[in-house]
Amino acid sequence: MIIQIILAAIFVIGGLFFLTVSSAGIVRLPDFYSRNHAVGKSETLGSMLILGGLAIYHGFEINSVKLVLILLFIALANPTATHVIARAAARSGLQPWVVKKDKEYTESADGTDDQRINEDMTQGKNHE
Amino acid sequence: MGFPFEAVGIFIAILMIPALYRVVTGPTLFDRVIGASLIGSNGILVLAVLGFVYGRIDMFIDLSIVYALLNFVGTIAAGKYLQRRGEGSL
Repeated sequence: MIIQIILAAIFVIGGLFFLTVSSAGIVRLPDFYSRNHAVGKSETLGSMLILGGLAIYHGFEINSVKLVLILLFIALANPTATHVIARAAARSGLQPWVVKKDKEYTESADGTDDQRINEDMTQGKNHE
Repeated sequence: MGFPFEAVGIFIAILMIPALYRVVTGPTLFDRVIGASLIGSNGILVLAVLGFVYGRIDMFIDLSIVYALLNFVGTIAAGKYLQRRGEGSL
């Protein structure tokens, strides 16, 4: 019985950690697609851990089976929903956030291939 | 010795506030939909924990199942609707 409570506490605390990561990511990340990444994976894992911890705490009954059913449904539904939203954003033309290349990066690049690629890109920009 | 379910429920409810911030000041419509989905997912967990607080799990688990289904269907419908609007709608 005490082992059951300790295991449930570990699961619930891990789930709260992942939910905190997800809620920090939806504020701090710079782009829609990266925020979608924060919601799609971290939130799913946190929900699954908390529901699993509650099911372990409750014991083996019919309500525990219902908790496991909610867990399986969230594991299927939450990534599907975020995928649908991301596909709608990509089809309606939302551009992802990229790091703009500075001149300092091309001057300090050591690899020859990378430097050549960067020079080609800057020349292409100049021609346009 | 009781498991502190009240503290867990209050903590998950506090975690809805960043998602509400993203819903209010989202740059695009998709950010608002994602924030609403996150609030719904946290609401499922709050309901499941609240059943353990009040000791009536058999009622709150059914409410939690209904919230999970409605959240999924609402997000899918919003995604399909926003996809149909085509280009230049941001």
